[in-house]
Amino acid sequence: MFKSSVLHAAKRLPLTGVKVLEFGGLAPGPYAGMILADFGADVVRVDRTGISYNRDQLTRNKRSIAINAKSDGGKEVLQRLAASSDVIIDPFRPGVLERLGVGPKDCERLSEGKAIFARLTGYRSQGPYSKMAGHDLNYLALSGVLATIRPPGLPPIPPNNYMGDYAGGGLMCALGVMMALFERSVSGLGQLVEADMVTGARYIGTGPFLRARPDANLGPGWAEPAGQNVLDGGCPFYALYPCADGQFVSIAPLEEKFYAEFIELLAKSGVTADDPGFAPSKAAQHDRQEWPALRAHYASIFKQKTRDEWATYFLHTDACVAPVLEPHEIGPDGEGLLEVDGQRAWSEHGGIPEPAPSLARTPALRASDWYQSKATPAEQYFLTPGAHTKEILQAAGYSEGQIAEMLAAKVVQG
Amino acid sequence: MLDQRPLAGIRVVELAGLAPGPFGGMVLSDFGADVVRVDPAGVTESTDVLSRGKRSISLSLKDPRGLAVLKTMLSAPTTDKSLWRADVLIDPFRPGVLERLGLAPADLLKANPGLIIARVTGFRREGPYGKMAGHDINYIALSGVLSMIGRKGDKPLFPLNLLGKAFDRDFAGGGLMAALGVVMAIVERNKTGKGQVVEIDMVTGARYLSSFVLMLAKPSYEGASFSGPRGENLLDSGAPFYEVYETKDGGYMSLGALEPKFYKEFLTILLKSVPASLIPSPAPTPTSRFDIDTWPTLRSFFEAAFLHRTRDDWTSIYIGTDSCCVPVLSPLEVDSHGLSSIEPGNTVSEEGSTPVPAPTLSRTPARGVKDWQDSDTFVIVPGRDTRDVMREAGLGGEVEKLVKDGVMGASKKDSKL
Repeated sequence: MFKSSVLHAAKRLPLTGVKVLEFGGLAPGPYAGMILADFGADVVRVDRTGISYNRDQLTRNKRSIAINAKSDGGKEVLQRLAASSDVIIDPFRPGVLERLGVGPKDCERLSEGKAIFARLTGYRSQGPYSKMAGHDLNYLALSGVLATIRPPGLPPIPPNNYMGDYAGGGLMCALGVMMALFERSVSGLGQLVEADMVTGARYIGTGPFLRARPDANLGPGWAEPAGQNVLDGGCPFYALYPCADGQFVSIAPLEEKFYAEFIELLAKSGVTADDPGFAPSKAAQHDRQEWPALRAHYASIFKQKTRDEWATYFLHTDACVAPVLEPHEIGPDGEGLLEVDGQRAWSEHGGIPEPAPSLARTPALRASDWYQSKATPAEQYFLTPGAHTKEILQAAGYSEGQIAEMLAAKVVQG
Repeated sequence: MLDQRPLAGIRVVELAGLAPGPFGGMVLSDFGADVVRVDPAGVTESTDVLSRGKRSISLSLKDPRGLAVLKTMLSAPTTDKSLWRADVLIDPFRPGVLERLGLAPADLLKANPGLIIARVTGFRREGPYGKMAGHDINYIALSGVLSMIGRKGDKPLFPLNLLGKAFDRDFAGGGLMAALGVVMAIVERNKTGKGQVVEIDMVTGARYLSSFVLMLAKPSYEGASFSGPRGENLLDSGAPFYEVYETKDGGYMSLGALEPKFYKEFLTILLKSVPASLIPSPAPTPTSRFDIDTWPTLRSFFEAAFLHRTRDDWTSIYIGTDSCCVPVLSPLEVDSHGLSSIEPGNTVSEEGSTPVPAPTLSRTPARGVKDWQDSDTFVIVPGRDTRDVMREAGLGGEVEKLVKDGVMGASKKDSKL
């Protein structure tokens, strides 16, 4: 069985041989499938018939089969595929796949207990929200996490969708699948993995939530209202400052020795603050009465040079200062603008991130290999529904004749 | 007693460090791994809140005898499988530190080819930042993602709890990804018997997590939804129908009505729930939504409308509908299972609750929440388990001498687990 034309690394992939059936959805499901595909799993996306375009863009290294799941023939195909899959990714509201005969219990039976059925939802499966429509922002809202993303005194801000959809959803689902895969190697059995984005987002927030508890006793700066904590803007030396060119630097010299280095370097920078009489000192670092003056002091210094001037100045130091880069300033391996001697080594639009983590002996497929091997953006990002229907059916044991019949009857498309 | 959890039997040495290491260790521990945190001898307090279910030994790695103890724990399993030997090592230090301590990965792998060594750093190892000190806000600054969060005209906002120390970096982009990589390496090891080095840095991790967002940030890309300036895109507060609005009592409602039918449902209900005097003329309609010229008026209307009622009022009005309009709950309003105080019959303790592990594995779930409600179970004292772990590693005879000489620390005389 061959995969679609992608350059395989010479090294082995960690998930070679793992077969994944990903029911087509948006964002979290495709992302979970993409992680597994990046690391070598054979991922087949199930599309419906009657469409020629699927706007999902997280499609690299996957194949597609298009099935009319409402037809009896289509259901039979689905069940046969489910029976031979190691992992099934279900992004629908619970009940949808049951009605097609490939719900968790069906797949358990079809696979003789081996399948790992991953159910990905937004809201939790219990409670009044479970049957309601929602989006990333809503899941974050219910998780307690959105409340913490806000400037002091202002409403929380929609932070794009990677915390709910991707972190709490797709990534969490992939992790659960991996754990179930390992457990199966011990027990021989699959199971149901349920990932909802409210719970996932909260789990990721465990650290800050625990630190914010009064009984954690971490002292001031950890359990204050949003915007008044050490790590959320309450502290002048864990903050962003605008520079002369309207860009920003991040400063974070929390530890005493880093702070000492930071203020020393500021003093030597040749820039005079608006308040030349005021000198930050190591001793006064945590004197909160001084913090407003400290904040004003830093602001007046940083605004006098450009972001890149500051970034260069603080390079190779432990002052914990780094520039806030925009997406187009970063290459595929995360190399930032300043790291390539002023030359842009990638296209002007920045790089598409490579998979993480890096497994030294059995690394993931390089994302850039995929994108560079495709001639058009359409081929780079989109997967045509049914592009691989025939080869998938062949591998599933259907004869040429059967496949032709199914195509003619529109039971499948491809 | 049979441990049903998925990672039962996996043993982890976690060298004590900051956030991403402990979080990765915590995830592995929650799902059944036996995680031993190695604290430096002489340190008696820890502020690591992510240590539930773990054990701690206190060891001086600068002393050759202490190093020898750790190396024994990291060495290949012997025929006596009950002797404690690590499957996984979590290294949270800057590049080179592990090597300088005498624990170069190449040497460790030679002594134990099955070992999985997870190295977690903030900055990428390559490039000039690799050896620099930094914190979460710096890593997300370099990832490109921080520049995309914030309202129009404002500076970027680093969410303490999400992008920052928690989500994107330390936790999602760092610790969680480290856990993912470790489990992948464990699965791969089942096939080949070999371990390997798993490297994660928080810049790369955050970027991988944000693949979709970064793909669509490319202006030349057809269908780009994130290529406008900060705060002017679809999912970053640029659109009035994907936003957070303040309510009469100072609470907030989230509105995420992207699809036409959801937006129609939301708007229909909204128009019926506010006095006519608040509704602009002409009134907003479901189909006029993508007319960007109307957005300022639409936004003002939504702001005024939501201010008209309390958060809990709006919550009841929209519950059970497909309006994608739900309340923004504070962390303290949500219990361990994600149930909130707004759901009938549910009460949440004042401190809010410890989030449960995710995802749920039906047959072999993570440990339950009941174990963690007391703070002394989520911050463990360094060296609390030195004696137990040393015994399990077959080094019990050496403990007292090493403790006496200050090479190891043991905070409890007779710790029982």
